[in-house]
Amino acid sequence: MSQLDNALNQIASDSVQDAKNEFQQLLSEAKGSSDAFVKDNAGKVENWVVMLSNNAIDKEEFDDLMADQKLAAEQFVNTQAIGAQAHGQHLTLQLLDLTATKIVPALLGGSRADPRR
Amino acid sequence: MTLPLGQNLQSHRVVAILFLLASLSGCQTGTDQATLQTLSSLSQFQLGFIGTYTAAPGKQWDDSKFQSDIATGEAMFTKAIAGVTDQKRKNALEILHRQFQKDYTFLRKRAKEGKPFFSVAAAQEKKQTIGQNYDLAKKGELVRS
Repeated sequence: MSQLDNALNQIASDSVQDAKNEFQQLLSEAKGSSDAFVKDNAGKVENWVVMLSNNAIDKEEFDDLMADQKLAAEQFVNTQAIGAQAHGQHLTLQLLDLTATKIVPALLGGSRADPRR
Repeated sequence: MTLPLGQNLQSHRVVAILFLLASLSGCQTGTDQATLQTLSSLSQFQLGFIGTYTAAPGKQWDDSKFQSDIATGEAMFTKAIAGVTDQKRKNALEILHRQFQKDYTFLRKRAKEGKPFFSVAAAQEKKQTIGQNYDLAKKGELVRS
């Protein structure tokens, strides 16, 4: 089982099951992207979720890293021709937003599974 | 000394062509070597700033140095952005400026809360992302050629 699976398994609530599935689907799509930035973004988000779940970084640091990545995504869009930017930008921002609004609050909230069970 | 009419027109034409060439080199299309150099200097400063404000055993918070480093960075960005009219080039510099402002705002807040400095783990990640942001800005500059 991957470290990410371990982190996501800490979320016990069934109410975020759809978000977990969507997150893994987006992550998989982004990792398979031919665009190096989109692929790299997915790897970073995965790594930071694992770091947060292991307490290697705190929530403020996690949010700060996500904000750094959003600025890098803005820079990525600024370097692209109009037609080339749409899909990569959409996938990157969708993944960052879902992580910040659904996955991390559930991971840190009261819905964490008891690791002793 | 008065030049004959034909020669006078010729010299005006040369001046006009020289002016046109100077205007074209000043108009911000194509790769600008000065911007690439500015991006390298800013990158060195900004990554150095993260390193300076990363936790290490025995490291003490020095608020006057922190304020002075912020002023240095702000002056560098102000100078870099001044007079830039090309919109994409301006956007690139403004994104990097916002990154710097975000970082010192974060550090200031954490210092007030008694948790100064970036942790080693967070700083490592930040350096990668900020480095990537500068690489993208340089790439944006290079694709203009």
